[in-house]
Amino acid sequence: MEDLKYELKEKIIEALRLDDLVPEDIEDDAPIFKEGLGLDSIDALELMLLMEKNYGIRLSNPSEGKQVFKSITTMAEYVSAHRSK
Amino acid sequence: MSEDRQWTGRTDGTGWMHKALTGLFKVLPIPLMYLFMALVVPFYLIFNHKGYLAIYHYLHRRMGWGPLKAFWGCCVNHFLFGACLMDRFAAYAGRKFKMEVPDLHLFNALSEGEEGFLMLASHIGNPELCGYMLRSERKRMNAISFGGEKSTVQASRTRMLGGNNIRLIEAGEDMGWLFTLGTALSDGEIVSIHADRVFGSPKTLEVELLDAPARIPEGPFAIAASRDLPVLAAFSLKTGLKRYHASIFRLDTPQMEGLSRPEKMQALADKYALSVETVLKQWPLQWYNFYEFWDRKL
Repeated sequence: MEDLKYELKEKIIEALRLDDLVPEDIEDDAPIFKEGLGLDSIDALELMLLMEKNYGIRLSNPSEGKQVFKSITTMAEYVSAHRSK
Repeated sequence: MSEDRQWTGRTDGTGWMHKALTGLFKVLPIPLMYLFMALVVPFYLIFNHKGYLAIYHYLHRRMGWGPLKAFWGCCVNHFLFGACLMDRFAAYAGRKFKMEVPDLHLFNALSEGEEGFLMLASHIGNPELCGYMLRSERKRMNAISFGGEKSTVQASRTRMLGGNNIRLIEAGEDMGWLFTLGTALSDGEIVSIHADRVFGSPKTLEVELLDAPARIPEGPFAIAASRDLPVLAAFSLKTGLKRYHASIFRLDTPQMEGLSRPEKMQALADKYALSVETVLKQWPLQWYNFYEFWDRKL
């Protein structure tokens, strides 16, 4: 799980061009949107694409999606349970 | 990003006014409704001073019109804007408009393919009536409408557009609508979104529009670049009492293949700005962004 979390952080940094960050800067349980990483709505679409391209996961249920994108930990748990790639 | 660049557009009036207007269009001729609307235009010019000034500056600085011509242009612009709003309610009431779409093949070519695509709209002419002319048998179109509209307007839109295989996705502060949008794109559907006003994210791209720098939202171009989607820009311009002309432009080109994501976003934004400029040069009075759109007073 720790490896997956690190991989997710790397992919998020790459996809969202967060060039001034390294994976170690992102806390596992910090909120991803607004007060945490400071991501916004465009970034949410990028994260959806990241999940689909890299792990074969399509998030279509808004309430489920919001839960998944709460933090790196919730993303990693969801990927681990639902990945098809 | 200043607050006045954030989306504030919504149709004026209360819910019962919208219902009454739709009802009136079922029985009264459109020219008579225009006449009533024309009586209201001077009040908007006087009391919505910021909107008037923004259009005056656009015509004077960007189009190079003299003060008197620009002032007259403001009056005509407000009247045309009112007429476009009236036409929307007339459409809700079931009235039909004639559409001339010389470049329909651009839409049909993408519509018949397997892939989803993005259609960029603007606050020029009457974008909502695009739903009339551009219908796809194969793909559902998802039109992003921005939150804050009255429920009567949204209900009328849904009724009018639903029969044309168009789904309205209401964008709000909550992230929920993004999942619907993301799923639609993954399913190879069409997504129509305004690309000239900032909403939900402060990120913007700078483009050159009418010889001056302007900022447009990054979102639509980021979506297109990330997913390598084909992109159209579509405009519907009022050309007569019950006539519209649709201009369609294909924005993505083979030359954009191989560009990095940021480069592709910028290339698409530049082409979008060029399409807006082309349309505005032909129909300068149908620009309906009633705020100071350009960064500098050049």
